[in-house]
Amino acid sequence: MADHRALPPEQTFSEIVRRLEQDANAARIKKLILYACKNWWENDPDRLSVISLQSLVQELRYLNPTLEHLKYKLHLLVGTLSKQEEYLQVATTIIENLTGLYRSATPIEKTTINTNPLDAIGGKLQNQITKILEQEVHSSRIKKLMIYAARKHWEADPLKIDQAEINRLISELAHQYPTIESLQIGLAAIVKSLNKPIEYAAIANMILREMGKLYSQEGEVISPESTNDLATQAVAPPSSQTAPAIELFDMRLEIVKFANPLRAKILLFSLVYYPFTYKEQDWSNLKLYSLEGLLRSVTTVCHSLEDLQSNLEVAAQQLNPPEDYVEVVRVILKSLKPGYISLQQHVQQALQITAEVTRANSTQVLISGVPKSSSAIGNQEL
Amino acid sequence: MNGQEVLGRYESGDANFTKENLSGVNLTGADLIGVNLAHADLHHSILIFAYLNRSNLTHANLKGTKLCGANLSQATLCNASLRDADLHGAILYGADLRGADLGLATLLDANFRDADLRNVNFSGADLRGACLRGANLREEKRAYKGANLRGADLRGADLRGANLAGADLSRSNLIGANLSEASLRNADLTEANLTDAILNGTFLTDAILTEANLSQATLRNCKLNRAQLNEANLSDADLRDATLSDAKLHKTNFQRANLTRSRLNRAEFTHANLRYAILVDALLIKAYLGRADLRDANLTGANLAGAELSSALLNGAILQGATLPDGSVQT
Repeated sequence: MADHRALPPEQTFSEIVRRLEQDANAARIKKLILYACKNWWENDPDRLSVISLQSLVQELRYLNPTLEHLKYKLHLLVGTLSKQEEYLQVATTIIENLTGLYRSATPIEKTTINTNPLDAIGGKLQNQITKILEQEVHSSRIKKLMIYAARKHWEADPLKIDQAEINRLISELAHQYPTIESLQIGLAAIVKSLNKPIEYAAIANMILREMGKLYSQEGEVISPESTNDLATQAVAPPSSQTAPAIELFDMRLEIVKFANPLRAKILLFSLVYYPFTYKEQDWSNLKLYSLEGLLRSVTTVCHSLEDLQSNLEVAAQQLNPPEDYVEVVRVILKSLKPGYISLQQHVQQALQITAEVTRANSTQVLISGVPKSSSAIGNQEL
Repeated sequence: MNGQEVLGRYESGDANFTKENLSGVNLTGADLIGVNLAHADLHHSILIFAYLNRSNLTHANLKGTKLCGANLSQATLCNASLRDADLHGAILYGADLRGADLGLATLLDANFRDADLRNVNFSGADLRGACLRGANLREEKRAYKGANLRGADLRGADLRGANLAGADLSRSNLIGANLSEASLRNADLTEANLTDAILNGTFLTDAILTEANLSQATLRNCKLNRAQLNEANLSDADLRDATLSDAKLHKTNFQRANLTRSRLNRAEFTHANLRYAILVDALLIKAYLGRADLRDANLTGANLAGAELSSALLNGAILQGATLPDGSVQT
């Protein structure tokens, strides 16, 4: 085994991450750490680049309470790879660099932005979160997604779902996902695998929003009343007699009249899912979603028009070239402005209904973007 | 010829590429506004986000071509072959596509607003979310066949005000599509799936809707005179103020449908299922309801003068204020 020299005590967590990032084997380091944390092998450099090494290292540290655990885990994984010799060296580099984290007197959680969620388990905050999630209209879906994330199986039995306790599920998730990023990645991976990704993306956001309080350093307790963004916003007048479904056709028409429909989709897709990079896989993924479905899902991600504007602007800047998307931002905002709140309410209602009734061959098929042919993303029957 | 050569020629003022072989060329994002590509071979070329506004692509071979996000507004694509082409999110506003072949093409979220689509073949095409508002797809005797949309996927498509008279939409998927104010006179919608579709004020006179699924569709003020709806499913549909005079409704399922104030004169309801249907103030003059199931239906104030009701099932039906076949009013 290589020399596990102790790192200088002043070495901070971010320095360790920086060193790993600057290593000649940086890509392989990331791949192996990702594999160790998520049991998932990623070869796509673009996908790898969007994953934060810092959160991965943090998660690796949590998942492996002692240096011995870490060594054992990494060597076990290296044994399953085809390039064992190369990855043994990579494992050694990781162990060398992370040794400092195990020997350092300073607990890791004090050097990072996040706290250990387990600290808050069993406390008042957990009870508050439980209460909020239980009162959500989609509590059944919330439970289903939490069960899947915590116990790795899709629970379809309504009785078992009813009996599952959110309080307990929160504890289980906090044990399994030591950082909010890890929970986010875990939920995102699950949502993508479901056949109603849009609906469950909204559910995942709800869970993340609430569970996030357990991970936040300030531990800020937010009262249930103030968590509802919609309730505290200046709500637009109640929708007119026009059904929101029809309004959505008008919104979409306004967009395609004044902007390139494909650019509008790429921008919305980047906002809701991940920055579009024009790769073959990105094109395939984009075809899974209709413009209408993306418009609906954007309302679950952006709680206000201001939110939508800032998120669209950020997404546009991430695209290549950004100037092609600036005008699209303006057109989308202008088209959605008159009916955004009512559309948001309509989507929420639809989520509520579909939680009660799972109906085949409904418009939800379009929303969830199941293609006519084979899907690039496996669709699990709900 | 490669992409650079094409652009070089175009930029030097030569926009005529008639009959040129440009197959497989990559012209992503190229500015080729007004270019003449009539009879050109562009199969499997890449024209993603290309500007082809007002271009001439008459008889061009565009099989399998990537035209995602391309701007083809007001272009001429008459008789062009776009079979299996990818026009995801492309702009074809006001384009002339008469006689073009778009069979199996990807037209997801494409904009065909006000396009001329007469005699276009869209069979098996992916038109999910496409905008065909105001497009012309109608049949014209001795000139153009109606557009062929057999088996096309039109889920969530915007077809408001489109002219689809005589078009073939058999076995097409129109779930959640909006066909309000569209004309579908004489159109063939056999076995089409119109679940949750919006058909307010749509003209479906003489249309064939045999075995079509219209469950939960909204058909308010829809014109369905003489339409053939045998064995169609209209359960839970909203047909308020719709006109179905002389319609063929053999074994049609209207369970829980709302037919308030609808006009159903002389319609043939043999073996139709009207259980729990709401027929308040409906006009059913001389309608044939032989063996129709009207159990628990609400016929308050309906006019059944001259209707054939003798073999209908009426247990639990509400007939208060209804005009009965003999002209008497039920009290």
